[in-house]
Amino acid sequence: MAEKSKPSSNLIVKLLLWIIDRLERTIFLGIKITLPRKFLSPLGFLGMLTFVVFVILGVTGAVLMLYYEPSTANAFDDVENIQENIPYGFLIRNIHYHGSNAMVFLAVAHLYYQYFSGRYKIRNEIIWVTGLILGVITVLEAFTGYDLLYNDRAELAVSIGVSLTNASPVIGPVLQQFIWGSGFSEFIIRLYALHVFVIPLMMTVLMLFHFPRFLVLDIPISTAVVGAILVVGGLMPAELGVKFDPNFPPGITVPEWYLTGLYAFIRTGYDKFFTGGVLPLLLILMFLVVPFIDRGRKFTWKDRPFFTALGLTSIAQILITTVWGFYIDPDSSKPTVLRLFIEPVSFYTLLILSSAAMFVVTYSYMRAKAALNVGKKRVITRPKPITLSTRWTTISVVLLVIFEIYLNIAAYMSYNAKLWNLTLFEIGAAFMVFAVLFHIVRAYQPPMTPITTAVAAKPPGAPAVRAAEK
Amino acid sequence: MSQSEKKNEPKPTASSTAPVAPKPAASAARPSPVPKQPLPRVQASGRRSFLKFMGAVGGILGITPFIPFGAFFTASATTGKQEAQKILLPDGSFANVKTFPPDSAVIFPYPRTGDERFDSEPFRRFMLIRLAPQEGGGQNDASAFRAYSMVCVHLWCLWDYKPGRQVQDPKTGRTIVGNMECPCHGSNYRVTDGVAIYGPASLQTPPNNAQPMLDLSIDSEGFVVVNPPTYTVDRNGIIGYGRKVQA
Repeated sequence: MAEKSKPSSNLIVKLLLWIIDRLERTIFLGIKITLPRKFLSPLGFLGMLTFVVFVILGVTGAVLMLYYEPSTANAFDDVENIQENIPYGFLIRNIHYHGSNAMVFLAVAHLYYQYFSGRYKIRNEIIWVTGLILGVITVLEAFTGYDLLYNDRAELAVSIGVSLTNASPVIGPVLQQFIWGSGFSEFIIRLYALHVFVIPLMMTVLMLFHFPRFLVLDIPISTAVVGAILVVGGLMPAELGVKFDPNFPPGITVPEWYLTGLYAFIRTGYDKFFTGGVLPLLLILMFLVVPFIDRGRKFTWKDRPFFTALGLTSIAQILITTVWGFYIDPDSSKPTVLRLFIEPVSFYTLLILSSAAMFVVTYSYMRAKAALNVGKKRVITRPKPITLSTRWTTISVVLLVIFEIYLNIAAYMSYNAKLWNLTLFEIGAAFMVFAVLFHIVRAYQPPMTPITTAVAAKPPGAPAVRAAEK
Repeated sequence: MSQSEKKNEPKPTASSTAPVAPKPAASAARPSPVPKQPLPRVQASGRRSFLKFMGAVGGILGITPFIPFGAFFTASATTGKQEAQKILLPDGSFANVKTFPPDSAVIFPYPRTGDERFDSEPFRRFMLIRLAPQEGGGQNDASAFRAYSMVCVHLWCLWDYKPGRQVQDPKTGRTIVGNMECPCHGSNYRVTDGVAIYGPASLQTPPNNAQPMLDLSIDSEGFVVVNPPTYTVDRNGIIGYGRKVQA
């Protein structure tokens, strides 16, 4: 290893190396984490980015627990207190909220990238299946989390959940009591227990079976993703909503974006268990069986027209249901039930027709393209990395540091001016500036100098000392 | 390697360190009951698998007592004192058949604990309704009263009683006086038996379409008394889920 050939005199470095050396005795022996020295496409390590966001959610969530009591009387008021009175509570809550959205999004993106690049092959079936379970319980984790706000959106989420458990055949009554307990004060405690302990624990255990042995931790991109979460939080601060009150109808509201698809299905008025339970399950089932059907030796999406078309069709379905789930008839003179109702015939007809069209078009297009390319050699071109000269590297690094100092001061000043969402934006921007800075520093390559001068520049005693050490 | 072969092997340590005499005695004690012919393999493996089976049975028996522990997760809303209780009215008196006006309703907690934390729980809140005279509210017995859970079986909003409102029963075409309506999505329940007749709750499959109900009786002084309920689908119903109504 590099560090062994060049022993450092720096005490901190020595201590770190000592620790790393001992860590090899632990379970981490099997995991190799690479810190890349050049830019890599983040598509390849979306899973690691999901994990980074998971850690951020763990930290912010643990902090939020200090001021939150899961009870019908206090839950909403506690969140309001965190948001409005507790110092930096607004920021921490927003990071937690937008982090949850980012985690769901990254997990889904990760799933699709791995799907299209055929990574479930080469004995990765266990990793694929645990990943799928992780994805489902990530959504459950987010769902249990936003119920804890106990606002009108939580009311809607709870009612969606209740309608699904109540509509389950045979086990309905038992399932209802098992998941929701008996009453409002009980379901909030149950969801809390699930959210802060049971599901995170399950996720941690599943991760042991999901992590491959070779991981890439890209500091600049991870930092940029965290920065992006904060920037989005600054632009669209999380809302409090209206306190959950079962005596009044919830205002017209929609669930979080990862549930609107499910919501659209339920709103068609057909049997809720089938539309809200069985149909979404089919999508998960499709992903579950794919590695056991797609046994070919081809990996890239270009060589697997059937599975690529299948994946694209599923994306189209997700988009249609998700967008439709957001739509509510704006005519407020109609009764709520009619405004929420989705006309099932047009909904399912469009879904089926667009799915069929999407599949046929993409599949035949890819087959045609493959037929055209027969015999042609595939050329893989890599973009040439941009290299900055020493002068421009120095200039840009200094400028970026100055910019970061400016953002820090700005964040502090906007916090004092109670412009908290601006603070969040500026902290996020500083993170992204740091990401660029880090990348420039790591990408910098000192100009080539003739070897002879390098040797001459070295003090003549140096090699002798090193030899004596050995 | 059989036992007899083992005995014939030379023992290098015996000659050098240990005294020779006790050694044969000890070895003679052990192998003597072993028959010359080894047991047939099938029989031996049969015993082995029998023992394994018994081990598995023991393990399962060890776990079995924990199966009913599942009830821990499905406790009823009103775990605790399930006793006959009079119904406390907002003015501090108890509901009485002599004074409670027909076609009116009052919200009460059951079981009443006096602890606001429990008594405000929606799953412990019920609506006592004295039916309109047209529906039999003029009777001076328990048949004039109904007590339903307030949690709408559609999506858990709390419904309200609308006195005097006339609705048409979609099945019989009869006009019913007094109506239970949920403010959220407009589910309507038939006041006489708590079955949903309009709105989304009426589209749900039975027993997911009827309000859970408490059994009432009138004591000797005319007070309305709640009889201890059994929260199952077939009896008083499951709150937030529904109740099976015999047609």
